[in-house]
Amino acid sequence: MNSRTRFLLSIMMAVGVLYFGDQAYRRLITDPAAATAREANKVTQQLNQVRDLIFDVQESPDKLAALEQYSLPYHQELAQSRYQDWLLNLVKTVKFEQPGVDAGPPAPVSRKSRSSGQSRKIFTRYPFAVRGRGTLHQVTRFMYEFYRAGHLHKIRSVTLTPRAGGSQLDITLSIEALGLAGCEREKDLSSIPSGRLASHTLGDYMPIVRRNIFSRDATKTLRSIMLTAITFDSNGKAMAWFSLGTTQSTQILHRGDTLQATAHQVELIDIQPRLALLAVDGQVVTVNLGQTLQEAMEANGP
Amino acid sequence: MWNRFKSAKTVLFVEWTSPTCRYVVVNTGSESPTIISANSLEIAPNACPAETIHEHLATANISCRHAVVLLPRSDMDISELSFPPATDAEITQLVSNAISLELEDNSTERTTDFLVTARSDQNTNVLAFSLETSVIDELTERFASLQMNLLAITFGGLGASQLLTQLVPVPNATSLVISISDYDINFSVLLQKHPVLFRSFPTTDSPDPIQADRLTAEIRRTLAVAHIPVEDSVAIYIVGDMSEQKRLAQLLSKSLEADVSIINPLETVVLQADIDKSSRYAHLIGMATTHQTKQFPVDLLHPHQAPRSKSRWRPVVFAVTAFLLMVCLTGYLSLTRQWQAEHAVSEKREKLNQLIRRANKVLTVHDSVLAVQQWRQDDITWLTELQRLSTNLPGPDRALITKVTMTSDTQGNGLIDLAVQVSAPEVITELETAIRAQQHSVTSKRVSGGNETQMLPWTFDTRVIFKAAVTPLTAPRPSDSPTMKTNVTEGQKNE
Repeated sequence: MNSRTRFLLSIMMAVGVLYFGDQAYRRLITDPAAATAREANKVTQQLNQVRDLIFDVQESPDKLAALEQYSLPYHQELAQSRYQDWLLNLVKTVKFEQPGVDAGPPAPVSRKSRSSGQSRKIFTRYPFAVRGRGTLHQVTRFMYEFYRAGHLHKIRSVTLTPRAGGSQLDITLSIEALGLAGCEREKDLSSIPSGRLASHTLGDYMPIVRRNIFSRDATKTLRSIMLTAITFDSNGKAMAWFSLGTTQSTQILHRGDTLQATAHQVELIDIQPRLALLAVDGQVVTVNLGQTLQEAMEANGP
Repeated sequence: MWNRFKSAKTVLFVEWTSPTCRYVVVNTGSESPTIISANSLEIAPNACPAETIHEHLATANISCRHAVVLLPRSDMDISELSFPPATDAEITQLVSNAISLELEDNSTERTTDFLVTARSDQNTNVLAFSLETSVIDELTERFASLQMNLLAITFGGLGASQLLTQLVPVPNATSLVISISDYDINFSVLLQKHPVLFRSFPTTDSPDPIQADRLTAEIRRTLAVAHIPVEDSVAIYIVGDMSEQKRLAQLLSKSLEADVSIINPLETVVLQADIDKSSRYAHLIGMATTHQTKQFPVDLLHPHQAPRSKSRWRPVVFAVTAFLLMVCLTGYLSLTRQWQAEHAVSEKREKLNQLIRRANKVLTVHDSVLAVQQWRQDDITWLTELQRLSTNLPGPDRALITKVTMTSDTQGNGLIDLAVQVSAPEVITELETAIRAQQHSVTSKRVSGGNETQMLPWTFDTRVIFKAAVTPLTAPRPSDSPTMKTNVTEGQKNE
């Protein structure tokens, strides 16, 4: 082996060492490092996504806790029973005629838990049907009280069919209430009032009654009712004389009596020597002698 | 090696002769060696001189941890060798080979040290001193068993020549040093300060004239062996004090017709012990002074070692080793970085798993909230819609609702079906326009005219469709204002 051959062999060996060294460096150092860097980026991205997700839904526990305050009790039978009682009391309070409250079978709703993967009950739906007959004032009051109550419930459908020229309405309601599984109350209904109504007094909804879209005579009626006289009987008890127009007879009312008027709820609150204090569809109105209810209401303002 | 000697403070120098064994204990801490003890002991047969001296020193309350052994001429093989010009490393190897050739019995391992006596362009002369290695090992073990460190094993006769170089700064070109010990008379021939020949013969108790004659004959013989004529201005030195050696010196000078001087070994040391015949301690003192200043010329415990030959592959091996070390270091650093990166990723993954578990818990709650919100999607406040209808419908003398049904579809849209009676067909459009709004679409159908005598002869059905706006159950609190909410949530996110 001469020096030239040895030199060439050395060059070949050096090239071989460089080549295989480069390959080894790539396989043992560079590639794993790049793979680790990719993995680190991927995990970092996932971390950020999960953090964002947690950030987005972090208010959910508070929201659920808030909803649980309005929920029906967690005990299924007691929840259905108590809410049915509440509905019955409500129809009784608003004095529906021929009232009826029917409870449907409760329907539990479940979802698969993300942590355990098992199905777990979230809430139970309680369907009810309410029917009855009443004036538009009674219907309005029923709805007002319904929406003012702090229960997790809703009216799925409502049908109003006028009777007797719109002075009476047949009402049919389909209602559904919700009882959350996480509710802490076993049997008591929520006593927290709801804030879902834009107006906070029933009087604010009395324009519904005054307008009474089911009656053609609603406005006319108020125009025709006039306070014609105030008298006192032998016992000194005051009486207010109301004329209901040319075709109907005069009604004489004592304090606390209700005027029988088409499509309106008129209650006599007090009688003074020259005026009467009335509640017309919930709105307190001072009516002077010789004044119609429409005039009195316009004079008293909205 | 010399530094090791220098660190010794108190050293025992033993002249290993039998039955009388002489020793000195030298303190080497000062500039000149200080003899703190000197004595000659009679060694019993089968007794070890080292143990006897150690016991004697213990009795004298002298502590000594280092020792140097001086062997007599009779215990060593001294060979005069001549080689071609060679380096020190080559001489070492040449001496080793020459001694091996000289020995008849190769089974006995020997230790050899040497002294270069002359070096010229033609040749290199060497004095080789060899001893059985087993003897060296035995001596080392004996001193080790006495808790003493054997510093060197050397030839005693060198002590006299070392004294000459120290006491006579400019000696003659050819010198002969005579030292008389308990058993031997030793001759050391020096050329240009380098010892070239050592001879010894037994001491006799003859009177000085007879001994002088004998010595004269031996001196002539020695110089002849060394190829030096007597008349060639040979300076003769007798080691000892003046009173002891004066007579002998005069006799020798007369018989040889040469200069004979007396050199006193005690002049080189500080004496703290009684020494009666200084000539008997010449070798010990000579070696003690040598130990004070430099290495022993001959040390069989630490003989000259041939330096390792430098292989031509050595640089290659070194370069390859360095390269491999660099590769290993680079690999180690890279792999360490890789392991750290992988560890960081696994920690992140663990954190991710924890966050996913936490997210799953929150998402499960979120699912419940979504389910309730979905249920409330068609929760329409119908009272508000009824109020809106009442406000927007034409007057009672023009329009009348005969039936209303309010419900919602599966998409969460509110549906209001109205059965209406109106006074004229134009009122239908008026009614639709009044009800219609951005979110409310109105369509009418089944319009039919009735008896003209009726006040509201026209009947039709109208459907109002609107997107249900789910109202919150609670009124918004001041703390839920957008500004505050943003600040709070951003703070939480930063955490």
